[in-house]
Amino acid sequence: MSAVVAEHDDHHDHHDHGHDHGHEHEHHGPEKGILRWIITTNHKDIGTLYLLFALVMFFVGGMMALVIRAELFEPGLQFVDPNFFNSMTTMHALVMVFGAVMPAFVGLANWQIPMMIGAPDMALPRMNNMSFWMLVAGVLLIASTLFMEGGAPSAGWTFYPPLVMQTGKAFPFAVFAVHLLGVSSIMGAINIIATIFNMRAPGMTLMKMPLFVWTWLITAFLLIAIMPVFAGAVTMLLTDRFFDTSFFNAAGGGDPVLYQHIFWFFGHPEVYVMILPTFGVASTIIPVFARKPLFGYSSMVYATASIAFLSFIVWAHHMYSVGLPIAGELYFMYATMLIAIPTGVKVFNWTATMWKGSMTFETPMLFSIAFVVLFTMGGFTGLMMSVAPVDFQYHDTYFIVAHFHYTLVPASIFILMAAGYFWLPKWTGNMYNEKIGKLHFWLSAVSVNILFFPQHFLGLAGMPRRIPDYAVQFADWNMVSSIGAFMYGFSQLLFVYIVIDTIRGGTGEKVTDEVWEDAAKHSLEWTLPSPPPYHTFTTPPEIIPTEHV
Amino acid sequence: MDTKKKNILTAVVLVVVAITIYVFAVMRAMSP
Repeated sequence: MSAVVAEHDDHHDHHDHGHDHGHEHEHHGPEKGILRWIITTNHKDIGTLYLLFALVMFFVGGMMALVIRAELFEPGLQFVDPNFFNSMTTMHALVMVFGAVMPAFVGLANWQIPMMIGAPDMALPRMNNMSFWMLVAGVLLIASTLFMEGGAPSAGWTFYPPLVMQTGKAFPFAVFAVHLLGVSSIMGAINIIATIFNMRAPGMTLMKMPLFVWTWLITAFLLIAIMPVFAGAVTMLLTDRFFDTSFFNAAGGGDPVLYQHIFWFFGHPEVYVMILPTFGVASTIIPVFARKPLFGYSSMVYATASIAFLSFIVWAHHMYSVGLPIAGELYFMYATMLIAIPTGVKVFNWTATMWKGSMTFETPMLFSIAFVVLFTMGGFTGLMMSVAPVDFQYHDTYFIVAHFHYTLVPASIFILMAAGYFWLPKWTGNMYNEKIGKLHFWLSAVSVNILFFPQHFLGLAGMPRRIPDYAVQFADWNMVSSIGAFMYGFSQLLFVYIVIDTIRGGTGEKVTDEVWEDAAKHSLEWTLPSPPPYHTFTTPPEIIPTEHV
Repeated sequence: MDTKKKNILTAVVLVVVAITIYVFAVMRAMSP
């Protein structure tokens, strides 16, 4: 593999890196200065942009969470007025879902998918740039609603009517932001599908792809199927508000419950958009540190596809208490329970991969093991809530909050951290500080449980979600939860330190191409130099690693 | 067909799929 050529030539707009031409000598380096990042069409640059943007948004969303936890530290109203509190719960969710978790996984996809399948870049590099900048526009627009008359939307990230109709001037801006985010996601998904379908190196058959690539392929199809539905739902909200339609307005013959059906047809697969790539990264990291092939590769692929399929037929389990017909409740209950089967297959396979492996416990592996344990806990509470009659007690309580935060924080966020530790040495060529990495892990693993575990008790005791004040019997566990929140929030600053420190040289130890022992047996990116040159695989690789298959 | 054409064709097909789903979702909500 040839090294980066520093000076750039006149081939800036020559993005046809199709390997059928073999133009190895047309490599050029990046643009100089800030322009590099604005106009870049390079998958590694765009991956970096996505990841850094997601990290910033993780802290923005995190600060909103700390406002929520500060207010809930004690009963009574302390710091913020109730409407602003509700804006915080709404914005925290929107920023974390659309600004942090999803972009972080798209960033990983940008960096890793071309390198994992032996492609020179993403299939549609200009569209790739456009997806990123549209995301920034969308997130900034939604954030700007905080400063508008009437405040940011405060009806929850679900935007349920009729409550959402009380939003002030921010309403149309929030709807437009959702459209921008949707278009950005759809373009990103199209790019990923086109890349995986058309750009794989010869010999890289679908069933030889690393699991991360598989999970992203399936996720991309989910995104294309659901984002237009969400766009449709918010467009109907917009016409209800400004053009006198009555889709969701009972006074005009509409039905607010219809909105809930449409929203959750989007919303349920959306949570899998955040969890399937999580599974993919875990399936990539665990075999490397267990020094064994992934157990049950093909069953992992089929389990992912099954979960994706099931995600489309279970949406009304979010709506048990709206008054569904009993047959509907029964159907959605059993369909939801089915999800436990492919998910169980996955948890079994990760455990079996570690079984009798020569395991070592570097930071990425620690985060991955914690993910397997804590995600399973989030999964089990999900199973509890799938039982329709029992859900009447859980519905809209802190039990729900505990459940989905277990599936998002010690699952998706932990795996994103694991991915950072796992691939940063490859991306930068420098080793991170393992001691600080481990400190970050242990602080996170302990505090995340202090933060979310007591919320199960609060929910079961009947504390409703999305309220700034509560009855005094909930005081103790809320205080514990808030302490955990601040511990967790501040420990994440260690990760920022790790990222900056590693980019600037880390421990000073130069890593090998493989970085981790025998990693090149598992996936192609470890056959490249660390850091990889600006353009990689302009000629396709000859050997396809199959250790994971 | 070269890779570039294949990529663009894939993108066009997927855009059409997305727009169809959008239209279908709204039409479905409008039907009584």
